[in-house]
Amino acid sequence: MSWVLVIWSASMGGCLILALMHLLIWCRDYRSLPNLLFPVIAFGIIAMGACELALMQVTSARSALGIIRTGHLFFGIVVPASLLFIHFLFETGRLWLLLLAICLRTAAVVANYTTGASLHFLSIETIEEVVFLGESVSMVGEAVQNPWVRLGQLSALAQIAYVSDASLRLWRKGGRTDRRRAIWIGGSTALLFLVAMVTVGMISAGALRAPMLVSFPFFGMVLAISYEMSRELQRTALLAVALETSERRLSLAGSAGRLAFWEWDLKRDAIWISEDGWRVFGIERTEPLGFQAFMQHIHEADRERVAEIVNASVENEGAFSVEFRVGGGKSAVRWLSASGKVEKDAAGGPFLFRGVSIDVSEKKEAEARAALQRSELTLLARASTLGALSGSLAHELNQPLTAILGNAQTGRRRLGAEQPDPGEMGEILDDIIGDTKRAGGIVHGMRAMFSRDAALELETVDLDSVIRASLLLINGEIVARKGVVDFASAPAPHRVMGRIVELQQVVINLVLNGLDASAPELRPGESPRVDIRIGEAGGGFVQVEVADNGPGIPAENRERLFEPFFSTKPERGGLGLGLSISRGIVERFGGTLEALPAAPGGGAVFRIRLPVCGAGDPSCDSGRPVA
Amino acid sequence: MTHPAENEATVYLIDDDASVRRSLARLIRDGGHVIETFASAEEFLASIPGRFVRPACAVVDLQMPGLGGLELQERLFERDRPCSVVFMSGNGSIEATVRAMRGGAVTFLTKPIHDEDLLAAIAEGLADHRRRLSAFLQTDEIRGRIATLSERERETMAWVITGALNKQIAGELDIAERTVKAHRSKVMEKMGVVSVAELVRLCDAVGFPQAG
Repeated sequence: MSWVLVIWSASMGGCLILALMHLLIWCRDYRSLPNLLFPVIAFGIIAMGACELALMQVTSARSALGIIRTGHLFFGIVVPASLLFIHFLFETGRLWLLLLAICLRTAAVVANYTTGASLHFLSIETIEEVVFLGESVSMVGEAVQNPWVRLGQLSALAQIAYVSDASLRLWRKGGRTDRRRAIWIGGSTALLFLVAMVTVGMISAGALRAPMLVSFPFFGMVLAISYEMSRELQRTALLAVALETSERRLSLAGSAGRLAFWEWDLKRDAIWISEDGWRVFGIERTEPLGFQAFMQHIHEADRERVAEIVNASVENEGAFSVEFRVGGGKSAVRWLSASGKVEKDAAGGPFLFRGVSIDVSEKKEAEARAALQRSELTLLARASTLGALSGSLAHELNQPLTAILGNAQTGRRRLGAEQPDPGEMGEILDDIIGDTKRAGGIVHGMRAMFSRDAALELETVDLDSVIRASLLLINGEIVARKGVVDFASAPAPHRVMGRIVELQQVVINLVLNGLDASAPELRPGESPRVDIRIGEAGGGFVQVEVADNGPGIPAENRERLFEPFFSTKPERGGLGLGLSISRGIVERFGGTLEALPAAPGGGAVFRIRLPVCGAGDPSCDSGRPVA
Repeated sequence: MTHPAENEATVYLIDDDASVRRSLARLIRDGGHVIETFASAEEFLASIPGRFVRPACAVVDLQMPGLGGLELQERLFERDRPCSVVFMSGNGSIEATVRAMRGGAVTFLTKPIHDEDLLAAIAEGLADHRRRLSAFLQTDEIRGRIATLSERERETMAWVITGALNKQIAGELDIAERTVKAHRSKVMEKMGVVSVAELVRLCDAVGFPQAG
């Protein structure tokens, strides 16, 4: 049995298998250059091995020279491929060193064909037999060395320098994988380049009497590289298992949680939706699905808004989050909440939009129910406040009615007189008209306070006129309580987003509370007093402070005041809901309501803060005056 | 339709609401009264005379900033010989009504007020004040007569109105019975009465104390 044949064939076969394996991986993943370079190296080494095998069987010096020349050509392929492989895998090598090594090797290949009979020999005189692994093989005997062989050795030095340098730098990066690669791949490559250089140098110089054995060490290099690369394969296999598990989990989440996963390939305008996701969106499975076609499934009232948000996040390459409705027409309308993120390609441009959508209809319904209950409670509290005010409201309403009746009866009597004065009759009628309008205004204000329409959209509201209208509505009550309310209206309007009636409710509550607070503590001659101040609070907020001249709030009650059913005046029929509901209202409009720490000897001070309606906001330009 | 006697009378209208003042003033003026209007109780109390010598009636709103109607009534009645008060309210509680009536108000009108009710109330108020004024006039007259009595005569009168006989009075005052007789006839003459019963009535009217 020929050991040489067995070993060389087995090594070449192994290389072939490894080469094909990586070639297949590369076919699946074009971007992975190391996976392409590895087969090139392996095929080069196989070819070198074949040349060596042939050289061991050679009989004439002429054919030996041809084989050596061919073998050297393959070596000229293996070397740059190895260097590039390391370059792309390590990403730490110096480019100039790489180019130098490749140029020298290319020059050596050129010299291989242009000088002498090959790079190593000018001529071979004899072929000798030598015993190698127990069998007789051929080897180069007497030969004249080509001086250009120095070029090959120079190239080998550059290769070793490049590989050692790149490995050292990789080692310094310090990662576990990096260090292992630096040793296994970098170390073996540098070492084997060295071994190849030395043995070939010695053989061609006649110092070592052995067959050309370049490929054999390189088989080892292929094995070392392959071992390292196979760790990647192992990792990929593990990842595949993990991925499958994860996909199964996601799919479970998708069906259980009414989740849809989706990806939108921006370049091809193709949308992929997870298996259960189609049902979440309520779309028949259609492929390919473009963005415009997809948008048709969004409720038409939300379509424009969603498109704007999506476009904005594609342009800004940011994340987005939006709630919108799907369905409409024949199918049921459902609420979805979607969030996603734009992913960038290597060039930094957006190429993929990936995200998840979840059916939030039930949550939305619950929210709507809660909002309804909240508005019912708010209305109830308002009605209860107004109920308590009914006496003074009746007085307010009776004043104009009294004036109207008196004027009308005077008019009636004068008509019965001999010569009614038309001028005086005109005055009387003008007074009647004026008072009728006044009464109408009060009725309008009361009706608004009882109205259920309050739970509609937010609107731009001028806080100053809200306060004025509130004070008008409770004027009778203020008079009945002998109170004094001072409101310094600001010259510029303070616009906020809210609902007039609910803000009036808050103001009325605070003012009446203030009057109540000071009433029992008064010295003779003093009146309950409430001061209202409005002004900018900074940070885009406007603030209203309502201060009374009562005893102030004990520190331990300052937060408890806002708890529902906490009342300091149960004997006066306080429900204890006023402040809690007021705070709820203000918070719904994005503001805060708090009791400030009292100044020594000072009364209670409540502060409302609301975000100012932005000047540039077009919805703010039409500040509706309060009727 | 204006009564000559009414011309001396004045109606005061006190209400914080300008429209109400203008309207009711027209009505009251057309009813034949002289009227003055005030926007607050304080303003009214500051401008009225210390003692009313002519018939007057104040028409007052119950709810006003500052002094309310009831407080106005109290302040007014603290004074000597106040005018009549008619209350108006859009929202009169029973409690307020009772307080007003106990305080001596003529009546309590609910806003909006019918013209006839208002004029009738004013007429009643003025009549009442007029009655009280004439009573005041009468007592002024009696007091004037009492002022003409001498010290002894006043002492004698104090005993006479107890129904005591001349002899008893002489004993009490430690003077002669004849002297008592002379004082008694002087008293009857100066007081302008012919019987003891008449004298007792006059003394009661001004609260002249009996002796003993």
